[in-house]
Amino acid sequence: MLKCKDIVARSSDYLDGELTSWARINYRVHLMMCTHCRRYLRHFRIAIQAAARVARTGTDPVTAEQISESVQRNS
Amino acid sequence: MTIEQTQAVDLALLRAQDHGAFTQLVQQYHGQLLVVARAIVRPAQAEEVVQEAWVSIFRALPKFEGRSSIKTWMFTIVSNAAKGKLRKENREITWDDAERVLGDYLSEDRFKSDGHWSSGPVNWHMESPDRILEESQLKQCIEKNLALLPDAQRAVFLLRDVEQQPLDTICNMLGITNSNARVLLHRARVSLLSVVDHYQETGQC
Ligand SMILES: [Zn+2]
Repeated sequence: MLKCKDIVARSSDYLDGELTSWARINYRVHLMMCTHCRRYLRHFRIAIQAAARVARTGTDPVTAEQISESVQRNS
Repeated sequence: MTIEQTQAVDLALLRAQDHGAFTQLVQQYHGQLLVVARAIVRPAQAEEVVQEAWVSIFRALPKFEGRSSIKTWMFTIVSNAAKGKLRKENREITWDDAERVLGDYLSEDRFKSDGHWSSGPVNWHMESPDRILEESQLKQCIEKNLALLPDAQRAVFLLRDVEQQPLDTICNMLGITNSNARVLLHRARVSLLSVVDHYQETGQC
């Protein structure tokens, strides 16, 4: 029987499909029975998606232009 | 500056080494390439590695066949250049506190001795990524904490959760094992969860 602590510890593997099919079934059974872990996983997904969008940061156009020009001068 | 929707740069223009298209590519990916380089070489060298990689990328663009996506192709060029630099210096990848986790989301008192939650995750009032990004203070807080992640964690998070690269591709790029990559990725994600969770609970970064 998985404990909540295990659900947290393996949550990335669960999201990335890195669990064996048996482990995945056990994982889902725990989720069905545990509201806390369902909430945890929901928060985990939301936080990852939000942070990923923040991390998609572009370089400022002036710097980009400088790099681009120096590259083309050297080519 | 955050690019909400990265438009794909026109491949035909890139192959023709069009100035505007290339500048757009630099604008979208320079930061990302730096993150990848920093996971392999020292921060001071990363800048140099990426500058040189841009020259290689520019020269190779006419021959880009599109067998992989252009970003995967660029990440591979940068990681190879960085690993080449390491080899030349006879060094191996060294990470300082690569396993560090920010915040206290996983502190021991979160769980009872039987491994179940002692009180469970707190309620969030912002329950979607959109809602979170509307909160500019929280967005800045995430930005700040992304920069605080150990370099290796930040690179794995970027490659997996931002750029959707498969784990085995990431392992090849960074020269790490599958279990390594999974640990780094999980630590990065939990740290970022901690940041969002703390803000939702306290309204502070
Ligand atoms: Zn549970």
